[in-house]
Amino acid sequence: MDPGAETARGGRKPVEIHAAPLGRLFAFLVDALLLTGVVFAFSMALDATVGPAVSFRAEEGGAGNGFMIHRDRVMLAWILNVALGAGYFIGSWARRSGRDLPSTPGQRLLRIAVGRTGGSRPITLAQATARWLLLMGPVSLCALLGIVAPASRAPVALASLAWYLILLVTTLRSPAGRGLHDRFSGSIVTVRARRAGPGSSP
Amino acid sequence: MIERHGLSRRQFLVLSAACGASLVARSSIPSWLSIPDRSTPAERLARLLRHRSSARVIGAAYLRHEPSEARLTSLVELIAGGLPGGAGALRSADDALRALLAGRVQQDFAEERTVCLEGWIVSRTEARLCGLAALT
Amino acid sequence: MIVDSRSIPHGSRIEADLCIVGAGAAGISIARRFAGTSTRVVVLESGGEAFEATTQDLSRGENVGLPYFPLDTARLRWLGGTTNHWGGICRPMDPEDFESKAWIPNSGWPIAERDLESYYEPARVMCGVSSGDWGLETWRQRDRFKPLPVRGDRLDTRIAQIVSPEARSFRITHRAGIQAARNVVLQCHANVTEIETNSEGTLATLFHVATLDGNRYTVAARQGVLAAGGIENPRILLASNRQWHEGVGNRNDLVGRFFLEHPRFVGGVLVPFDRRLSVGLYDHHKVGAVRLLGYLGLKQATRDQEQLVDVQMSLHPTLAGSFQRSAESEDMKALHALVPALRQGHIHQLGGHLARVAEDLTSWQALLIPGAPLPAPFPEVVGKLMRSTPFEAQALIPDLMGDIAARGYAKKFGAPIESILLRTRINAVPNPDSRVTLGDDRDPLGIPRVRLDWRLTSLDRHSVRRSLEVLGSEVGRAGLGRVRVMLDDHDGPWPEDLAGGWHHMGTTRMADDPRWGVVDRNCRVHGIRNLYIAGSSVFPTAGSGTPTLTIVALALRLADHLKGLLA
Repeated sequence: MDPGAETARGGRKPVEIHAAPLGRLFAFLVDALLLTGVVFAFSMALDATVGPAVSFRAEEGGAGNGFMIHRDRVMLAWILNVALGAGYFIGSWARRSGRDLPSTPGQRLLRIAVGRTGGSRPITLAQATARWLLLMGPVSLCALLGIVAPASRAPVALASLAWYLILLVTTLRSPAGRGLHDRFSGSIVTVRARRAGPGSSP
Repeated sequence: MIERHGLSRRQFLVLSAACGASLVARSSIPSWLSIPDRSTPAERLARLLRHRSSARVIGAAYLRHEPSEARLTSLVELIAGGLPGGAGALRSADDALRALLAGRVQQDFAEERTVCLEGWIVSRTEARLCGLAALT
Repeated sequence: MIVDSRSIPHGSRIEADLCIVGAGAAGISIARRFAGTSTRVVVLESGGEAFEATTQDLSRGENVGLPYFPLDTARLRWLGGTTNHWGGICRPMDPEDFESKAWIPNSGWPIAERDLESYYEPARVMCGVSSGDWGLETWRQRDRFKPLPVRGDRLDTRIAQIVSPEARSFRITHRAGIQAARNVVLQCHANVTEIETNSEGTLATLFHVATLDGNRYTVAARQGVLAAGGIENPRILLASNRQWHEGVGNRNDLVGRFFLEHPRFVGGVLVPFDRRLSVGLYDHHKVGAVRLLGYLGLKQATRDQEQLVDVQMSLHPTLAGSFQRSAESEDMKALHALVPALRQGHIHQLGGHLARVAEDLTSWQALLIPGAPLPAPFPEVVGKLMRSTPFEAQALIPDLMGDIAARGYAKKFGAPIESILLRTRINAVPNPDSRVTLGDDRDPLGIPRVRLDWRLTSLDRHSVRRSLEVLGSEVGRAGLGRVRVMLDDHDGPWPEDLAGGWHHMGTTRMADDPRWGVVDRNCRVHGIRNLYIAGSSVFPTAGSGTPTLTIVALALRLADHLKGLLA
């Protein structure tokens, strides 16, 4: 039984209205865009300090098809960028400040938040880490294997694709919108409660 | 299969620039601004080819094919002989000379005055121009 | 109707009006022409309704001449014959293909194009060719691609049509018609081992049939047609040597001689000045629903003047950088193969296709920043892109986006051309020394396997070289680029990529004089009153078109001739 379902239907204590899948997807895209920008900026800095991760073989009138990939620098870029991604998502979800449930900037824009099931408390650091691993782990792994172990990337990519399909299907089928990543990490994505602001009507 | 032969496709792409585009291209500097030219006809003709190193490779192949023409004077005479106005044409401004040579190259192909250099079908005039480049 | 000959009682003798050996394009065309008439037709097909390795093995033979395809892959032995893997390229013969040329030994047909003209239209319908229009001018108006802008006084652009893949196999398109015809009995798994004649050798009296499981019977027919292909037709005639040591119809030692192919190889390369030179007309493309393919050739007047055979030149651009990689991508091929494999339920192929597709889908990752949630290229790649010329950028972009994107981009905007390979295809000179004979090995039915000695002549070589030289001159004259000829004019070895077009022709050639041909102008074997041959083995010359349409047109013409005799 999906534990979030009962509460979503109106349990006795706090009422959680789970967020619609389309909004969640859009929020994720906003986050990904933001994070990609940050990652790109850091990669430029890395390029300037330790040298380029990809260089071009000098070919006369080269058509641009001669690439040289420096694996050590790619590895460094991967570690840095995965750390950035982990910091961004885990930090956003496990943050404890104020009365509101925490959310990433993208989720905040779409007025949704991540919380623990059965209550209106934020998820713990361990839960946030598990949620990030389940969501972003496969894509990060694929990106790394694409460079360091090209032979293994195909099966991993197929497995990742299958995993994301499972997440999508389980999210869509769950009455509380809780895909496997939410169930394993004990989280739920809810609509942010509207608060009366200073200028609002009573 | 192509790689077995000496002249590469790339060299012939450059040849296209050397013998086609160079001859047709018009100088952006008006002729009345240019300094009076005191170079020999051979140097003038060879200078029309912008990609000298490629022209030299092709020229060397041509001179191996036609060793009897391997003298500057013969090549200049043979090239000038094909131009309207003969040797007088060599006194034309660079753009005019380029246009004359381009016309001659086209005429060479039309009349199959061509030579086969390591398989490449090249006009006699462009081959001789390259020959000049190889000798200067 | 279609029956299995393994169930026919051993030793029986079947009577028919017409016996056709072989259910490929020619045999099926004749059988269908007789469908619904009162003529009792028996069709003897070596294979079944699907591919069987043991039957296919009967085609195995030896190549002792120029390098050639393994013979058991060059023809298919099952219902529909080789149309089951036909490429579908069609063009009828040109009128001049039938003419004799003084400088081409053994050239010329005893019939003219006008004798076949009325049969090309029904042949087109039989073969599933979309349009009856073969002229460049008609298509020029409608085609978005234009012919190479060279002067037209020495060079021609010709148009072939390509039958859509689902309409190519005669097994698929004509099976129902055969099955429904009550007067036609198509016997599967029936191999003809011998043609027996009367004691004078003037009448074919019996077709001896054997199946691989040991069944044997005979078919006696008023008229017989051999339609088993350009190698099997002479094999059956030569192997029928119990009564006649030279075989049936071979009194002048012509059966199996004059083996013709359409030899193909890359004879030259064109390096265009403009990397965007439009050559789309010379690639497979569609105009409306019609699939077209253009190629170049010398005009007849030029060939006559220079005393050459016809050489067709097709253009195969090699693209710049990654575009070429994507064009040759095995992954893309797998992706294309995946959908039909899924549709047809070929589960055993899925694993390989899936692996390739996964590989293709992930290939773009090589240039992405690992860890970025969205595809973002390395800064160096972006820098390179910003600094690169448009051509370089066009070649670089596909590296970022992968082969799929490259394909889409090239399709939409065109891809820069590095060079254009000139694949030449010769309407080869008929050569009596190029021949099919019987070898020493025997197949499981006891029939000697064939030995193929494929040969070409110095005129073939010279014609390729001269055709490319003329193209080189015309391309230079038009300022389009330069051409390199990669075949020398000496009698050295042929290029390593020399191959045939899977066309077997000439081995029972047509001539009015029995000293020069195996069959007469009606395709009747000289000296035998009731034995005919259908298929490209009767072609005296290979022709500048592809053979299938002419095979079917000739078969329909033969069917009408036989109708007159059997009425």
